[in-house]
Amino acid sequence: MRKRSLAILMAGLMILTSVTGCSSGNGETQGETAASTSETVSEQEESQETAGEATGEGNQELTGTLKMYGPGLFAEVGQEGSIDMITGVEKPGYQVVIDRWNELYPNVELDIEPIPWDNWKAALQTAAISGDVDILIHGASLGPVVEPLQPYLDQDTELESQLTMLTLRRNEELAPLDQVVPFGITVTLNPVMVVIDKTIFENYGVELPDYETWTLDDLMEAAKATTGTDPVTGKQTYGISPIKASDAYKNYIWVSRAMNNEIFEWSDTNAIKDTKVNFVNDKTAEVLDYIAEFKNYTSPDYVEGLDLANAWTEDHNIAMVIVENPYNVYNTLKANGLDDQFMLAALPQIQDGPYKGITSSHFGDWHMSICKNSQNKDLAWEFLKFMVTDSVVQQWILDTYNIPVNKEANSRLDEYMSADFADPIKYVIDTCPAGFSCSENQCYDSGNFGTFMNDLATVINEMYQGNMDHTQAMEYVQKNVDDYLSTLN
Amino acid sequence: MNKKQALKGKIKKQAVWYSFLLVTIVTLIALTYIPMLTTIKYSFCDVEVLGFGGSEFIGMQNYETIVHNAAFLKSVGNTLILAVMSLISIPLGFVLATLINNVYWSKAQSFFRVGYYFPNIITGVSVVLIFQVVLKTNGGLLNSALSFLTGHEISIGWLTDSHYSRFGATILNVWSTLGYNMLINLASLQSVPREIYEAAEVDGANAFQKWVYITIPQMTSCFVFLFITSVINGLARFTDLFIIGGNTPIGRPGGTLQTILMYIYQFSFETPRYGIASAGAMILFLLTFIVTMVNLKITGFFKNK
Amino acid sequence: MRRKRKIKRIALVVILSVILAVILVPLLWCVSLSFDRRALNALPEFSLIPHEPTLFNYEVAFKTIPLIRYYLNTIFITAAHTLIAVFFSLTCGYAFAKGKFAGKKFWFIFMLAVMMIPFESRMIPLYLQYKQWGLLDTYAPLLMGAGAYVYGIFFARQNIEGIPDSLRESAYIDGAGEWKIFFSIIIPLSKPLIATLSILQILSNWNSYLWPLVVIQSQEKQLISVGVSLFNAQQNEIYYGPRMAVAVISAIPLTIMFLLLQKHIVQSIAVSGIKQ
Repeated sequence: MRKRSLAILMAGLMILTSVTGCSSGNGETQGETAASTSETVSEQEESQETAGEATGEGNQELTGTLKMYGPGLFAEVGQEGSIDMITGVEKPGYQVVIDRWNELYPNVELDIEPIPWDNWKAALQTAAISGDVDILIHGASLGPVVEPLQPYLDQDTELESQLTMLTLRRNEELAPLDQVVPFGITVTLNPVMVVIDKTIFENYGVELPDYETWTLDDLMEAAKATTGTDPVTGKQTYGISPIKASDAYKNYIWVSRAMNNEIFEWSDTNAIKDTKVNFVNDKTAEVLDYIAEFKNYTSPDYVEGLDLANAWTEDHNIAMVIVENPYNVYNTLKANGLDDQFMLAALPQIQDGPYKGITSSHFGDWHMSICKNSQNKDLAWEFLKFMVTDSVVQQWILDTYNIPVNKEANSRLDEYMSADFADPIKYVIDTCPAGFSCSENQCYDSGNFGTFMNDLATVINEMYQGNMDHTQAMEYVQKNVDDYLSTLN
Repeated sequence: MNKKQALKGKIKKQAVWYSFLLVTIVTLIALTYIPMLTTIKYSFCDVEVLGFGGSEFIGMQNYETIVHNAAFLKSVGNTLILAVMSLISIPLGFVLATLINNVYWSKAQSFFRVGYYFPNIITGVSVVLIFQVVLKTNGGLLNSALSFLTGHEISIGWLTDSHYSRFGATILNVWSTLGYNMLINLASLQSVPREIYEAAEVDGANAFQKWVYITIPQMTSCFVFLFITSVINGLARFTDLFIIGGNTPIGRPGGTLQTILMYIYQFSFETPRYGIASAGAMILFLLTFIVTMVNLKITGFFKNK
Repeated sequence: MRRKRKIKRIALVVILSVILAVILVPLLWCVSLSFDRRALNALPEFSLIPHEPTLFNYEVAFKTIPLIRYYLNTIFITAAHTLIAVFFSLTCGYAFAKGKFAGKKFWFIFMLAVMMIPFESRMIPLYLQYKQWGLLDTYAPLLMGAGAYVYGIFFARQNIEGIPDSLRESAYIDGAGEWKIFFSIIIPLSKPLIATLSILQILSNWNSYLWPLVVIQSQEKQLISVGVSLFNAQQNEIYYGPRMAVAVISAIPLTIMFLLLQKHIVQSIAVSGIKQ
């Protein structure tokens, strides 16, 4: 009896397979992709006019609806703005952006659908599949889904020079793998920097660093010297809070860069699958050990992400905090009346290699990409330009305590914060080479090597717990990368 | 003529019964079987993101890849280990049920039943949020209690140290399933016929002997039921571990909490390789299918009727 | 002898109360946190009474996101989903328990076979289908799946099997058809079953997150689970108090429901377990 019913079940499945098996579609979307690149030229003239300052009338010719979807700033401030109830910090909502856009393009409707960060990659991918989203907010990492932007930039030749950076990714089809090509327009910059509690340094008699010249060793020594019982206040202090443990790979990014640990050996075939990743090497060991050494100078709550509980308040007890949102931190400090007690610094300088001497601080970003199967690519491109060039939008970004990518706008940061904060940020912006972003560089790559990013976080945390030494850690990561590369065809 | 009518009547009767099933059958075909066929199809293809880029037929290659992939095998191991560890909830529920059953005072009994079942209705993010606090390394409730009881300072990283994370995750799981297991056990206990106990008492059995020789054997079918449902739930475990890992599917800490479903999620969304994810999904399906069939066999579905 | 037994029972009650307290303490603490003004980005010391009692956290929650809107959406979806799911699991359960028809076993396996297919593994194909049908950003994807609540069917079959055939037979004699019997006999006799299936459905739907997140794109249609997540995204830090407040708010309807229905639930869950 059982056998029979199983057999029937299987037979039923087979029939269904033959009927429906190949029905669901990837056919439809492919055709559109090829067609759209050629259209970009036609509407070019119109866009030139509006890129600059607003004329009273607005552009009547462009029509349609632009739909965008994704996590980040729009979700953070909401349409009508947000008030952080605790610090009282107020941020204007993205209605400002919509209003301004409608002024310029009265016939183009904006449909913004922000989502939270939880499960955002899954949500973005499905939205892209749905085919009715034009702009994928923060979508550049979804390789095959987003439009390469070089053709657009080639037409708007002035745009690039106005921006501090672009969202760049590796792509084996478009460029040699040791280079990166634009897949998104960065809107806001998140430089990775150190917030220093000057009082703690002073109490321990540690000299404040010169952030243009300090080294990895200087940073570690300062962390060491400021961990303990504060000689003045008698409170327990900790030397450092690196980027939070759940994102531990970001600590790998800056330390590996400071040590110039180049791990990629690109192949002549320019294919990811033929790339050799030399993760197991002495320098990697050094990088990992350096990060693991922080363990001695962090709060025991660091691994659980709870060490910043008292941060930016009267009870602040960490000498150096590595942050990705210095502007926001500055405002929290200011709201608490503590901004004079702190200063900002770039991360230590790079010791070796082509970038020797500049800071190892890099930019995280919040960006926008065009969806490959959008029907409105040119309109979408207009919006991307608008986000990074329109003066009202730049002001809005500053008002939300973010750093705009627009050079002119971010050069005015000193009007918004004290020199102790503005200068180091400017220093990073000025010295950081274009494309020096966190996602893909000579020492690190978040998207092309499977679980590389997550594995880094895993092993660093394991080393932190004392469950792995650097040899085990390197082998763990290397094995997963090699396994992944062997699955590529 | 009569025969024909009888046949007609029979068909009509069948049709009536099928009318009870119709909606569910259609729904299942449209929303479960057909998507599953898509999954089967893509498990034989090399495809990254569905609908973008090509999808080339590559035969069994995804399956070959996945069964040789250390990370996948580890996730299978993790899933099984976690599922087995969660089984502890069943005996605990049984002991609890025995205790409650011995409180003959019925008001107290129903109070305990409701009270112990209550955590079962708290689900999702809240549970993890609660337990991140309860299981915190320094000054968490559990560690504080342990420190107090042992007299030593105890700081175990229940959710952050890969040596202990499976225990932490199990504590969390037991907390939310204990009430359910208790309830089923209790009901089963109360359905054991009194006469058996009375007969044993005549023979001079003490309470413990009664428990071992009568109660436990009588409870077998209940244990089997709980065992099977617990294993099936364990195979599909995802949400709580996903949140513990900081909303990532990598199974922090140390990859010890990555279940099969998290592996599938990883290759569906984080590093899209939909072909591989589909192959993983099919293997997971096979595992659950086997457990379900074993369940049916044990419960006697294939015999009689 | 009798006294000894009484003491034993009291001891038992005390032990059970202590264990229960241990189990419930985390929950109570969370409720306490949600009323505590000191529960910001640092956790205050453990205490079941708020250090600084306040309604502030709830105010924050209600001001930051359109909670009421999300609430109503969620209640609507949950109620509709539950209604559909429970109804059709009863019809199927009835057919499988009492019906005699060809292919009964096949269809039962047909349903059970996919009972536990994890949703995440078929999400994308499913999404593509709804796209083809033009139903994205509507409530259809959230409701249509309700027609196949397989666990409920299994559960209902177990329960309905226990209803004596004699009741049905007397109805037959009165000339009632199967549907009539279903509505007039089976449903009234299945109240505990309905209560249980409802609560199980509500539990599993109330907090569903990923599927609403991807299929619902318009914010005003969104559900509370996604709303909670959006709320958390709008704060710079993890503020425990407001977070717990939101968690408590979103759990209140469930709690009320549970307390109202608990007698039925306990009974019927129990029945499903014994009947093997």
